[in-house]
Amino acid sequence: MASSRHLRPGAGAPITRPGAATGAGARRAGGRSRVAAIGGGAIGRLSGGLSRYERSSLFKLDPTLLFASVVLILLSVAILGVTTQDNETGDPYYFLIRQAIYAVLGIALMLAVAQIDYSRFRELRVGLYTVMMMPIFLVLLLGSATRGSRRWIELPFFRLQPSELGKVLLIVALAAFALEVTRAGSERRRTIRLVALGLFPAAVVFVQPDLGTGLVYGVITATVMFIGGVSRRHFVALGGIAVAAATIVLVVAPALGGPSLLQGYQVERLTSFLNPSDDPSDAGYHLQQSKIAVGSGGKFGQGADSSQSPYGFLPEGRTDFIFATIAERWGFVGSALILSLYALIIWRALRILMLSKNLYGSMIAGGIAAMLMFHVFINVGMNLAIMPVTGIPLPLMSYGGSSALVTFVAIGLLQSIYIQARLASGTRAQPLF
Amino acid sequence: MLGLDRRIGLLFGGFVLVFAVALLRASYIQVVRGSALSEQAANQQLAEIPVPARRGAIVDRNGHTLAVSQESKTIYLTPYQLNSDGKQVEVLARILDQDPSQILDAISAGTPGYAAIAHEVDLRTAKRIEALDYEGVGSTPDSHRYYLQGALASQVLGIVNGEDQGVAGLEASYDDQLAGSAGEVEVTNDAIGRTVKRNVLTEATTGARLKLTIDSDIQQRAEEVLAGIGATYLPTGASAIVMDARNSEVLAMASWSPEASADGSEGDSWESMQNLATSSIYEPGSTFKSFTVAAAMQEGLVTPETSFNLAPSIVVGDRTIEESHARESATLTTADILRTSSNVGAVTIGLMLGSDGVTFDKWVRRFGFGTATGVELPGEETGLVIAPEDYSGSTMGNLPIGQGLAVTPLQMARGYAAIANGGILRRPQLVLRDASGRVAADDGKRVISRQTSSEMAKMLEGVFEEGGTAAGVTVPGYTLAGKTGTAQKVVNGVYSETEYVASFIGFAPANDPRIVVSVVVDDPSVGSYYGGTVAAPAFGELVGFTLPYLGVRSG
Repeated sequence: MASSRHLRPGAGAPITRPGAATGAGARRAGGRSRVAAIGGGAIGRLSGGLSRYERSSLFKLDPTLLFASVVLILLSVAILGVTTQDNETGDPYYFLIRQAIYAVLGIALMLAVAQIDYSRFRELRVGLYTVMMMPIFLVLLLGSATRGSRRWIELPFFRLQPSELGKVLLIVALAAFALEVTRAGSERRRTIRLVALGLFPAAVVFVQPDLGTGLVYGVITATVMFIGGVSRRHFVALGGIAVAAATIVLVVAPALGGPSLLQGYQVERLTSFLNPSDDPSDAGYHLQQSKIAVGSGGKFGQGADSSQSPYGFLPEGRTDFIFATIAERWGFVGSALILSLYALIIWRALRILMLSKNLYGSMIAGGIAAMLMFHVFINVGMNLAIMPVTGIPLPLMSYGGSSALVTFVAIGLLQSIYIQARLASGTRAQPLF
Repeated sequence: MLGLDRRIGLLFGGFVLVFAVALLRASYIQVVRGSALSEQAANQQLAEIPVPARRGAIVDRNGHTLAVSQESKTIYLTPYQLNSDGKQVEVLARILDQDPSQILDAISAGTPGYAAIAHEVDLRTAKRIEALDYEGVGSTPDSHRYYLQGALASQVLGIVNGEDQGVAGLEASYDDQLAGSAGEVEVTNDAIGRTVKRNVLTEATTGARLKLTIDSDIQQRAEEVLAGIGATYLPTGASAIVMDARNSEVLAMASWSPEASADGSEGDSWESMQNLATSSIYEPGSTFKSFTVAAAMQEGLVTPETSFNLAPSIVVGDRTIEESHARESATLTTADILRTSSNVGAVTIGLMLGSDGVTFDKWVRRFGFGTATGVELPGEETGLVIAPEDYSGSTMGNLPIGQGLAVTPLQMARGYAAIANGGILRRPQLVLRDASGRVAADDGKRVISRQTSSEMAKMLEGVFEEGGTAAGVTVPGYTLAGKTGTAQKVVNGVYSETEYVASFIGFAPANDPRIVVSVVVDDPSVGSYYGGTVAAPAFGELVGFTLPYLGVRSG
């Protein structure tokens, strides 16, 4: 809360130029009604030189969300710039430049998506669902194999990872389906349909095999259903089925010598985090090394004396284990800063969930919040050696275009929901938090 | 929406919980476990590697290098980082001129993280290996010891082991000076074992240079002379010492054994590395008679002219002592007794010192027998000298003629140096200059008077005259003094009739002694076994080389 109040004038300053007056006004307004201050008060007052279009949407963005997401991607660019000087490509700015391009593209994409009224996606649900499924199947058919899994389609200059984009498409489509089925049919049929629609792509991704993304799809499905009002009885039943299925796959089937649904390395990764020192050579080794990297960062970090990531002890130090790279370099201060920025984003996402003018927006916001939360928690948890190695990137921080662009699309959707809520202001009460 | 707020609340609760867990876990790892984990990081990245010091050189008295160390490399592996197909091992083996199995043995003898596969690899070969740029192959500096004069003085110099530690000879006794002190570097290794940083913790310091009293040319000649004896008489061993009579500096100390290879190149068997001059003991026989006579003279009991009526044999206790060449009863002076090496005469003089042996024993020990000389070599023998209270009835029939006690060649040379130099017994010296500078000569202690010394010298000159045991050995231009020895060896507790130690010890020039030379030949098995025949000519040869070499004026 405190940080949001502090940040608002900052976001307004470049637009107004005589920043002091506006900042002070906003600060005063903040105490009374934050939403009104940003959406109506502050922007209203500087509408003079701006076009009607800008007034109506661009400057009604949630500034805290904008700030947190832009700061995170800028930190990512900066960190990659500092830590990948001696990378294997021979070009000291290889990763810096690419991540900077993804950042610019991502921010532009976010601003563009924010302009669209998300409600229009409801009608496109079947198309979106199809668009989501096609490349996922395509990857399965002709994707290039990387580290035991096929997730990418090789494009010139870019490796497209459709399962990343699929996450957002699933949220938007599934929320629309949830609304559609609310109107007709029994509650049980609706639940079964949603589960089927959600778990179908999850299952395909799972077969790629990409266990982590499959789980993300599962979490998205569950959250959309949760916000969409699926009854508690059904959740209890689904939970029971999930636990039973997991038990069969992980415990019973291997014990009976039956066909294993999980690849060997997946089981290893899932189990080794429970006892990393049992297996210091592979999956457990990654967790162990990550923990050492994070720990040796201490309170204030090793700075340029960092060794775990530059000397290659920390695997995947710019992608999956970038949190550990930061934690080693900038210590607990760095970890806490990064975690705070994520907390800010997810807090804003949940707030937008409440502000949304309709249930569709709430479901989308909920799905996105859950998706981000799951990513952050699983990835950071892996870096802190309390979660298995699943290959889930840290949104906006991990090097990579697909993840950065998709995360910005998701944040753009949140902004769209926010803007639409502001445009329809007065129809809903103030959020609780 | 019924219950939506509650559901959002639940979601928010989950969010708070998840972040609390992440933050708490991060603070636990970074704040509470931070130092332990950064220690773990250091443990897997840092290694303290000793940098061996360059070993000091050993040079002879003229500065000619005998032993020197050259920088080389130890090649080591981080075995788990090697490719498993074995090709790399084959390539390494080829470059190192080893069999691949040797490398595999070294790997199994090492740890998964470190196995040294070759020591003392010359820098050029090491460079070829480094150029391969194999993951998990590294090198650390070490050094190789070169003996520039080959096997010359190898028994004196000794040898170093694979860890560059002296294990024999001066290399061992001066190891702390020669070794220098190892340095230490802290290396930072990356995950695939490449060294990314080197931090010198302590610099290595080169060991001290050792300058010996040995003269390479004299040493060379002594070894050649012994090799000649070895080839002619096929003994089981032989030693020669050339010592400066004035200060007991050892100019040459040579050992020959049948194990030494014929071409004089490095023989590395322990037998051939044994320094016979200090670590072998023998019964000296007749060469010891000089000490018997010198003692009696110093006690005022005899003079060179004192004459003795001697029977063909003498009975002491249960033993009858005869001459080695039987003769009729005769009247011999003290000088005659030494010249002809009369056993009966020497025993008679010995008995004059007292049949209880107390006075005789005092003189044996005064001349340094039964005590190590203190020369700078490890493993020096003290010899065997029995105490008077352990004498049997016949002991005084043995000791005056050099039987019943054991000595080292160096102890004999030290004793003869005292006779030669005017009466001072000094510690023999092998090192002229060490870490602390010039080594001062031993002041020694006086054992006989100057007069006794010069009278002894005169008598020992007679040994080379007509009727003497070394008659016929001459060095043109120089007067010689010395004593032959042909000692029966004790085999299975009795004196052998077939195994002898042939020896000769003397000095030159007789009137102003400059060098003491000893030649001891153990069990010459063909030709002759007499000291006068086997050893005396070698004495002459060494004197004939050394005195002109040292610039001692003849005449």
